[in-house]
Amino acid sequence: MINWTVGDIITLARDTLNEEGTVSLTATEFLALVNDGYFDVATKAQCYERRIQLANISASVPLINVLPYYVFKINYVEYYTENKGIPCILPNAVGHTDIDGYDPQYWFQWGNVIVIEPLPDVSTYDLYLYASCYPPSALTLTTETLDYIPEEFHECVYDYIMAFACLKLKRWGDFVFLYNKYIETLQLKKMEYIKNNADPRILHKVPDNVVVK
Amino acid sequence: MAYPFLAASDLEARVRTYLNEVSADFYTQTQIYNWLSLGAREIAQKSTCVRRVLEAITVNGEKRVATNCYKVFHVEYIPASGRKVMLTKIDPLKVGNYPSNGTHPQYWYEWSVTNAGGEYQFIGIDPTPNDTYNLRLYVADLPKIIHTTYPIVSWGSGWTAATPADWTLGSTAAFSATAGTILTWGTAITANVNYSLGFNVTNLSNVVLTPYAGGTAGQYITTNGFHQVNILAGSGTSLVFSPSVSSGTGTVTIDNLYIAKEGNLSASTDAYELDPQWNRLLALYSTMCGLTRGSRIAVAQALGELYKNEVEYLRQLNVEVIPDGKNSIIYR
Repeated sequence: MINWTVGDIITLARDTLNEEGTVSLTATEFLALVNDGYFDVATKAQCYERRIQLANISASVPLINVLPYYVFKINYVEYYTENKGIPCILPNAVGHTDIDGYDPQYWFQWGNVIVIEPLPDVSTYDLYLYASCYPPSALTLTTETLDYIPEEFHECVYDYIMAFACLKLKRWGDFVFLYNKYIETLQLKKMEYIKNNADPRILHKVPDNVVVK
Repeated sequence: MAYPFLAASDLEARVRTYLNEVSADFYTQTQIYNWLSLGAREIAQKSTCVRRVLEAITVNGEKRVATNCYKVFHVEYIPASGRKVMLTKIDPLKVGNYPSNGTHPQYWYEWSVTNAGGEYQFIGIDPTPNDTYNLRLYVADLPKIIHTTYPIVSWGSGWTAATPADWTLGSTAAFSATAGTILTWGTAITANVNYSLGFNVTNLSNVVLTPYAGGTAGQYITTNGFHQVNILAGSGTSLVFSPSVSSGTGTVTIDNLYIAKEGNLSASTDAYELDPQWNRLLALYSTMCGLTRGSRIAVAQALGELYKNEVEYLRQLNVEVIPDGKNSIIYR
């Protein structure tokens, strides 16, 4: 089943839990569970990745508010005007690091704001934020699909609601088992699909010796 | 309630699902709201997830700078010209013993002096300021209840400009005049309660802008950009922006006003400013409290462990600043 709808997930969960009717869990409760799972997967896997362009930032602005973009984690920042990625630093390093002119060279996130170091001396500048975000809207219909998380994570939402539905059904042992399954699967997929380690130079060389045991 | 925040009624529904009590019976709404309020503060305390950057200005001859938050992590000195710098943290023993270069702020220390209500804390600045110096405090705070419109982006109604009406009210609140006239929010605020305001300032010229809550002045603003201030409201019930014109014609424009106030959940539409990632844990925490009330101690303990681990995990994953290394940008 590709690109599940909310209704598909709920039906599958009801079948698997032996809850085909709305005896214990109402449609409203299931929809809330799907939304919670949707958010939890996006949060823990950091899998709703956006590139947000901040254009014409006034150089005199020390704090840039990212709350309107539903950002919870900024992973990378590109000084777009110069087409250059800039590293994240600890706040303690502000004013103490070596700088080369007054272009943006470092950044860090503090809550819902991003701070650029040093404060640029150009009139305006542009940034790209490579950020992990919340879905921009909640799911309200059973015909909707989980559009804002990658398809390979849709099954994780199913795992999530299976676990938490067990709380209401007082199947607490099942909850623990299913929650562990949810977390285990989510972490595996995050390592596979979201973590994006760069190639080291050594990978471009032919190895001296390869032994397969 | 403004997406993506969850209102008290939404959180209550989730807790009731987990406790298998759809309508109030053994668990009252008041009990669940109290557990949710308790949980919100505990999450914020354990994860330090409610982070703000507060404006502050030193007083000539006074080491102490009042703060109003859980904890100050960093203090940044903003010189009138030149590069801003994060001050070095010390302890009171080192005051006057470390090398200093000039009279501007160079070190800071924590020493939590609280008032009877436990509201205020102070940090100390070294050397003792001999002037007013601009600082920014990077803090962790307690979660507050957000206003139902968050942020306020329309100023065309609900705001009153004093006569002469030098404010142009529409999608922004724009002031231009030779003398300051205040702008007052039409909604009464709660007296003697902590408020957090966040707002965007542009076009600021010849103006010192001061926000007031209940008659108490917040930190005044002299620069463009996004600003956050914490104010312990006085006995009044008005929220005011007051521009003071320093010379000639002063101008300032305000938009995107975020208002949050301290308190427990009491209305179904109340919502904490906690990021959505914490809402599920908030429901879990309240479920744990409910199971305890129902003498389901073993299950409550299991949920409590899960909750505790997840708070720590999410703090490391999404709250802490993890810096890049020098090698991160070198091709090796």
